[in-house]
Amino acid sequence: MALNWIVPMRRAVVREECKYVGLLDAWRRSLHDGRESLARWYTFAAEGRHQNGLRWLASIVQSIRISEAALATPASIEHGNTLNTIPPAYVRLWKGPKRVLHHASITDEQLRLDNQQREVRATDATFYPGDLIEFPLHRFLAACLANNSSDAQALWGMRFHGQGHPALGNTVLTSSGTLPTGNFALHDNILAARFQMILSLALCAWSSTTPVYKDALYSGSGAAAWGLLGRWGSKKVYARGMMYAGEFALNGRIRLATRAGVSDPNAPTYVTDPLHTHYWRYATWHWGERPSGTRPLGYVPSNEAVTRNLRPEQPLTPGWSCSPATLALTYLLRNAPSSGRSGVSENFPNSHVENGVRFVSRESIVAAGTPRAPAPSPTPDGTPPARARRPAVPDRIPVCLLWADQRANRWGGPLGDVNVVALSRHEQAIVKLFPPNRLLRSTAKPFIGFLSGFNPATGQDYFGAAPHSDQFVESGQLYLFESAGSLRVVRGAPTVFGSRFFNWKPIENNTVYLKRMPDARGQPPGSGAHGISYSDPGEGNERRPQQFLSRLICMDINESTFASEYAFGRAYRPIVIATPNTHETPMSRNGRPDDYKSLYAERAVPFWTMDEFVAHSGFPLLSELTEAIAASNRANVEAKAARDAARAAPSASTGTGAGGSGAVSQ
Amino acid sequence: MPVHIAAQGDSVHSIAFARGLHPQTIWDHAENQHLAEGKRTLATLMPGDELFVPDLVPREESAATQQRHRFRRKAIPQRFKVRFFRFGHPRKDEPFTSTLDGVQGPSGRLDDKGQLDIPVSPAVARIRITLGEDAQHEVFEFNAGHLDPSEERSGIIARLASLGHHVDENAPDPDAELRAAVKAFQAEQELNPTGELDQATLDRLRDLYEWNADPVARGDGQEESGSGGAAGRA
Repeated sequence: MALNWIVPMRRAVVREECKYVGLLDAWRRSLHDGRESLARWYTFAAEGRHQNGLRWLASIVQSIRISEAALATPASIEHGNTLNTIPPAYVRLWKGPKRVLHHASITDEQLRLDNQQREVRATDATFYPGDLIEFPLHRFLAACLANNSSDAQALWGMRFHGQGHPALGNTVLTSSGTLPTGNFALHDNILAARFQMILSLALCAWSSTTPVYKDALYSGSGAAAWGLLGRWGSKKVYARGMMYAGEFALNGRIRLATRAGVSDPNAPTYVTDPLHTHYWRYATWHWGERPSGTRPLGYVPSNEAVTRNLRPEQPLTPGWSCSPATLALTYLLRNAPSSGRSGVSENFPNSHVENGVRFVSRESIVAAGTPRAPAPSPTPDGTPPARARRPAVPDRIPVCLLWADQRANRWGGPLGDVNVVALSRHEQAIVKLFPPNRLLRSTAKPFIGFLSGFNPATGQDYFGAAPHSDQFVESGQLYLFESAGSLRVVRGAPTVFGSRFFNWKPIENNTVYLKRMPDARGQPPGSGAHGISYSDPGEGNERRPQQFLSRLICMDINESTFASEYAFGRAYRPIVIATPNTHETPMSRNGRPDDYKSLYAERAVPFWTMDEFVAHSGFPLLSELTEAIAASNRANVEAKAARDAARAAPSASTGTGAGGSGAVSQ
Repeated sequence: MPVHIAAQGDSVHSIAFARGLHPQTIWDHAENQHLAEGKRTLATLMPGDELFVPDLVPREESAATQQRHRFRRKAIPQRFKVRFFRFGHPRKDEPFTSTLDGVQGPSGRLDDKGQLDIPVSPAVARIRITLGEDAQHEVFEFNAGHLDPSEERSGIIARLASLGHHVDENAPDPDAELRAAVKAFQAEQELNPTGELDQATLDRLRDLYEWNADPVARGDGQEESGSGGAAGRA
């Protein structure tokens, strides 16, 4: 399959190099395969009409197959000639990284892309992996009508927006330049488009050689400023994609991330320049200054740490640390105008909220030391089997973020689609991806969709790329979304500070483990990679921990409590996985997470579930967030004072206690 | 040598224009009777057709000196006519502009039948019609004089294509391609969809494609206008 249909029948990313005819043939097959959904969503494509559209497309494919020279119509002088015009089916192109980097010699003029709609009008054009293509679905629908009705004319009048972008939902405009609405609105998956954008940023699929940082911006920025000013104070710094992703969240200057940007069809596309010249450009190892004479940008994204590839004389941008990474993720997704999937309550079916904290019952957690059964065979009804258990591993326990729900006998789990996990000063996200063609199941015409993603360099669908993902078509394949080690200053080392790898990988078998590593200094466990394991215990050769966690806390702040404390809506609640009964964590004293606010206040990033897009009209302003953090800091101080005072008196624990089947905090 | 071997794009009109003759002078010449018999027309020749092109006949006119005199050259005005459909429906009232061999030509709007009718030089080779004014405009290129007679395979294929039924002559089995296109056309026209080019199909194809065709162009021997003979010279 040459294409990965990220929005079936409408938008695809190229996976294998192909020509225009191949592209349109693939579209025709997609339209044929999706005809039932199409008829369900569009009256224009009702049964009996769909074939008209396919005939139109067949004519186009046929005419393209004939040589370009033959496309000029033979005509006679004197005779009246007749031309039953076949409206073209030119595709809209957003250039992929391979095209930008390796086929830069192919000009827009050669592609006949130099038109307002950014349509490729050269029918001999070649398309490369990573090219993002939108097909003129509006024209297909018009062809389905095969008449001159007002609906048909309206559809023929629709056109691609040359400055539009899938993440904005404004790729197609009406003849009057407005966004199509009602029957004319085209199905879409804006959520996936937004997620893809930020994912591509994180994967360095986008860079700019424009200087973005100057010395002045660093003054007073602590260690980072010291590093730069001390050694490279006069240098300018060049950024790659992550920098911009960070800016999404931190200063809100990107219009894309605003609701106004969504509703305004003329909002600029978030690209480094209006002609998308640099869109998707990527350069993994060029964080720093790019002196003349260095190798051109042209490396394929890699998960390798960036710092090791840099010379000390290359000043680095601070890039994207874990908090901005997860914040940007939620920030961008939250501005979708409507809802996607289920929320927290649905995803924690066996949980309840008490005193502002959601408790998950112990049964949902496979306790450490529980004997494990041999790997079961697939169940008779075809549902995936429960995970094969291995001998007890005392040094860590599986965090039941996704587990076999025995009651429903189905493979399910408590995670939302996007889950920001804060674990002792490090944020990461667990994201559920679904196969893109899941959109076809929607009864109503879908617009927001669900999360899915593709490799920006190859066009490969991430869901399908994950091992054993076929078991998770219904529940979603979990991926780790993590930016680690940013802003770290390595004193005395040959390298300098900077962002390290962006961790993006499927979570094997959708199972996440929490582990604890010893810390001789008595610091809280769980920091960074020492906190959560995404691989099976017993595999690999990690250092054997000396302690393990008896239980964990998945905390979901109740909206009433949260609102009373922070004047925020439910939409801002974080999920925090913390480790009770561990040294110096706020909940370690009595098993009750009465100090959960401290956790949140410290680092946790607002968490957002898909159905909460509806619940709130927008993301909090930076000032609001700052205020909340300041408030929580004050609360921290007060809590500390309270704790100090409480040490003088016995604490009145009301926790449900330790393991077994008792209610477990989160 | 007064015999002209027609090339692709030639018509009696363009040949006569180039020689300074009236087209009817060539068409009516006894040496060219085979053209009408071969279903050629003033507008449609096949490459390789032989035309007898008579020499110009000098004509003398007396006129007084020291005065201005006007001599008018006789010729049939050439017009390019095309009607545009979209899925069988006229594209009425759409704005158009034209370019004739790269030079801006007339512009206006299609009539309520989706037709345009513009004057052109018989020598024009490439006609570009642009429909629509906004970003959605469509461009159509025409090779003037390239339409082969309606009885020839190439002429049939060209007419079928113009009506929306393309035939890929480079396909492994071009005959099968043609049959499929004919069948689709027959079905569309509610003819017996055999895929065979019977007379009813040919007639329908010609009638549907050619409109407002003058009788001469149809080769029925009747003149519409002009008086033949050599063109006058200034």
